Amino acid sequence: MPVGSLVDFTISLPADVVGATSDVQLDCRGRVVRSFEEDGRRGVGVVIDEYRFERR
Amino acid sequence: MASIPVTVESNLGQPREGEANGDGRFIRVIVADTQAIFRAGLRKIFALEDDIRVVGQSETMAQTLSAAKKFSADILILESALSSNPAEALSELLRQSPGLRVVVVTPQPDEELTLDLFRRGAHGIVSREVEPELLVDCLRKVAEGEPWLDSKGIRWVLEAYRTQATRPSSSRPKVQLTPKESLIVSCVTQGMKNKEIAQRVGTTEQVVKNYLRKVYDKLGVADRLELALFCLHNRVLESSPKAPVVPQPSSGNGSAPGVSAIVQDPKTVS
Repeated sequence: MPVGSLVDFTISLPADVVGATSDVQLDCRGRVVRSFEEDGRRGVGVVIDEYRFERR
Repeated sequence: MASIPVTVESNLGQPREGEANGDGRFIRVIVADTQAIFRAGLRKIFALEDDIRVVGQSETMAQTLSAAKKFSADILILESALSSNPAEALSELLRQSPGLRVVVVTPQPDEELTLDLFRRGAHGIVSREVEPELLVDCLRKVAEGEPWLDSKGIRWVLEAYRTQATRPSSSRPKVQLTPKESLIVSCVTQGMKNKEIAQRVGTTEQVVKNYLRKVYDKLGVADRLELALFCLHNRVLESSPKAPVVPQPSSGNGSAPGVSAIVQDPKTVS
């Protein structure tokens, strides 16, 4: 994934992590600032520019 | 106890005939010790060695810092009793004089102190009962860039290294939140707005803001997103009271300039 790409992704916050009764979704939009591949695993560093808690 | 000024040997920088020629082969030593008799004893011991020269001495931590700055010594022999917090004193010394090698003299072998001193950059640690010949050997080895510990110290360090290797990777100390702080954090990480949190907790919006400021400081985060990510990585809310989610489609929008995240395997990112 090239540096500078815009990405939308969701971070799932498990219920027990946020002290809730159900999982919380965190919708994020960001930019790739780093991209790497190591031991067959791919990873990117992303700066999150916008986010929204998705509540149920 | 009488106060002495930071002193310097009268022959500093003037190698005597038949000795090292000043091209760096001398081991220049500062002796920092609260007891005059110990300082005098060390000077006598080192006087017999051609390659070791005491260039300064001190009997308080302030004098020691001053001596380290004033004299370009290779090694400082630091009595741990010179400070109520010898590990912190060592750090301060090395911050001020990063090129200095410090041999710490402890009253007796002490595992916790040895590990703390070693982690903070002590080059050598000896007990006050060290044999003179061993101390001389210690200085020579440390001057060559080698660490110096007695066999017990080596065992402690190796054991600590082994224990660390088998410990979970997160070494960040567990942050303690009060029940109310935990409840507010829980509400935030569920996307509630301050007004909603205030209603939930039974207080005002301003009080919630005050709590949040305190929590941000405690956890070292800057905003709600960082707080949520911190909770995700550090599980600060485990076993805290659960806050009910207010049924709404979505909220808590925010912009987060500068917040970064590492996403492993982008295929799984939705």
